[in-house]
Amino acid sequence: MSTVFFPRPEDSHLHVTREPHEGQCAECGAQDLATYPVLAAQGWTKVVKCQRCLALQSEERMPIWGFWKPLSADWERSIAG
Amino acid sequence: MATQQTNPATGYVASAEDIRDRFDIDLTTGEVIRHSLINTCSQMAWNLTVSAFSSVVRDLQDFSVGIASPWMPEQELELDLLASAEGCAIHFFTFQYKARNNILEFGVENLEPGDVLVYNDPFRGGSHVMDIGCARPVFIDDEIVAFTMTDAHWVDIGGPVPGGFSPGYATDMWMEGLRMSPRLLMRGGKRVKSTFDLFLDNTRIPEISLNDLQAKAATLALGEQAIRRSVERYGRDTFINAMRYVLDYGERRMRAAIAELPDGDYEGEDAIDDDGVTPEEHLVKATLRKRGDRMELDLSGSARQSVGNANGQSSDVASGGHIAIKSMILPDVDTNAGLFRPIDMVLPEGSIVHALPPAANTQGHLLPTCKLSTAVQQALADARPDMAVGESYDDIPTVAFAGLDTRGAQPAPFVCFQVPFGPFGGTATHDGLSYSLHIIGNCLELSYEIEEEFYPIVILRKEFVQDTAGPGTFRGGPAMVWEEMPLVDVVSSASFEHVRKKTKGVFDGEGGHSAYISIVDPDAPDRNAADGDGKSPRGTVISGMVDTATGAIDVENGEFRTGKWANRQIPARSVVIMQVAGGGGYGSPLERDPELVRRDVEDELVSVEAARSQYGVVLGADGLTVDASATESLRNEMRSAA
Repeated sequence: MSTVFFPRPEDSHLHVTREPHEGQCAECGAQDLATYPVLAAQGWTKVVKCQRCLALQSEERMPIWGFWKPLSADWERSIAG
Repeated sequence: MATQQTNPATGYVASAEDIRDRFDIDLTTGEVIRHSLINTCSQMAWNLTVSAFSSVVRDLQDFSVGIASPWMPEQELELDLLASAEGCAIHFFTFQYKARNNILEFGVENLEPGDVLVYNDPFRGGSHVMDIGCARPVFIDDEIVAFTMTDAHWVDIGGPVPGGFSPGYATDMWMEGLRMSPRLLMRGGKRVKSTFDLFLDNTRIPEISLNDLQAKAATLALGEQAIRRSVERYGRDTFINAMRYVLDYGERRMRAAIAELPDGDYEGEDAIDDDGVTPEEHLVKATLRKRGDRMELDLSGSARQSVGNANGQSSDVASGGHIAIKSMILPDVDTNAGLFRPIDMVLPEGSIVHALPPAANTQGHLLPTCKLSTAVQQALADARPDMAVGESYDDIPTVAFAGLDTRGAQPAPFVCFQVPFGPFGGTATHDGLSYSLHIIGNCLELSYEIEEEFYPIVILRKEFVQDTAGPGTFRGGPAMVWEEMPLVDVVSSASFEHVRKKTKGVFDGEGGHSAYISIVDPDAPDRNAADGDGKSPRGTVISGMVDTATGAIDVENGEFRTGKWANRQIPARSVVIMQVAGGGGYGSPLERDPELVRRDVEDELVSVEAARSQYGVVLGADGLTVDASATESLRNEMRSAA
């Protein structure tokens, strides 16, 4: 699948899927963890969060562009960028 | 200055001792540096205001300036927004994504003293192609200790529609103007000719744009000087520690404000009329999840991307969400990236709130963000009913006129860009503001005297329209109408929302009147007639809900004519009439103080007839005194009927 261009979705309304994640919340103890992407203060991030208290369990930074990527994204930069 | 702040959710108290322990800085110095950063931004903003040539920057102040931290992950400083200042609100929220992403993509390690980066790609954390971002590293010796930043609107960045925005026209990003990844505008203090040429060869107004670019570069240099003085005065380590303190301050204040709200899931929604290409409405749905001192704003359930350019960028929409939340629960704290930390945005990809390339998106800078602010206001009103507010005019309308100005010795191309203001909704304690730009904008209005001097456009009329405010215990602000006459043939574009439906009231408050645009031909017999109640416009209604038999506005049953169109040829001396929507009311109009209704009648905001039919207030024969017993009797009758 292209990471540069995306077609208009066929579904009329869209949802972010929260995938269930094994484990127990380190803060409230609930066994209700889920993983999904969020736009956090530091940019796009894949998080694992407790769905009861919203405590962050772990996070993984996504590429700065989020869900698309320019073809030159991984090129070594020259002094002119 | 508060020296102690408590987080009700955790019991954490930030004291001077605690600040010293955590950041190795005394609280007073931290506060002095925090305010100096804000003040530096104010100086930068004024520098840009007085040096820019374009009216959109100089007069509208459709720009912002900011200062970001260096890239020092080991210090938890990652190009974070530290301070911002006057200008367009959404710009200084998008700094956190736009400047940061573009600096990272270019490579911090490739920057030298005196460099300035420039960028405008909406999909690289930006807003829309007309907002030109610039960032300059502040070096102390060989180390970058900060960045100064600007983001400013350009009246024209190329593309097929003069003035950009391309409402009802663009269906992909290539139709909207020049899109640029980060590149050097200045290298070592010298202008990079190829970059300047790229800009200037692709705009209809190169002289004005050249000056604006240079004004931006000078503004960044001014900010750099102020930061260098701070570092020289306080020392590098203290300055870096102060940045960490500044971000913590913002985070701490936001967490405390969130913690004051009851835990829960709160919902709100609003819809964009259409994108001008298809008549499809576009839902923006918001679920605000609040737990302790954390929040998530989940926009799942929102509509997919539009065919036209109503599509919002994730960074723009997230910024709109932050503005909406901050304006409701923490209005008195200056913005920095710390405020973002407790709030995550959940944005379905491919949707109207998170469009992906090659979706057209210029109007998406405004439309989904305006709707989101209404949805967030609804959601927060569930959490705190005292915060409820009637819907505003819920739009940042745009109008552009372009052509050749033939008033001088030589015909000169011009692009006149306007942003009509409008009313806000009523609140629990006050009537809605009558005339302001939407909260995501916060710009100023172009002076009409300046407009008539610079452009061959004459402003014939601008006033509130009677009986357009949403009735309520505290009514919404009234709609505003403009009549403008181009003196030369022009190509025009416009984007107006709430053409299709009234604004919404809250707690039995009623909605405000819908918006419309009509055009009166130069030779029309009623060209100079006065408009009455704003519901039977002169000329031909080109945008609005129209009763096709009478030409009047009929918001319930009329034929929908989109408020978004581009490249419309308008002959010289036509009259263009534009009315924004009225604000929604708060509470039942039957509970409004009759004296306030009488005053509205005196001020010609409410007619004698509407005082009776909408508010149940009966005025005496002179129309200026309240008949108290008749009013009480009528209101009782109306309550029984309801």
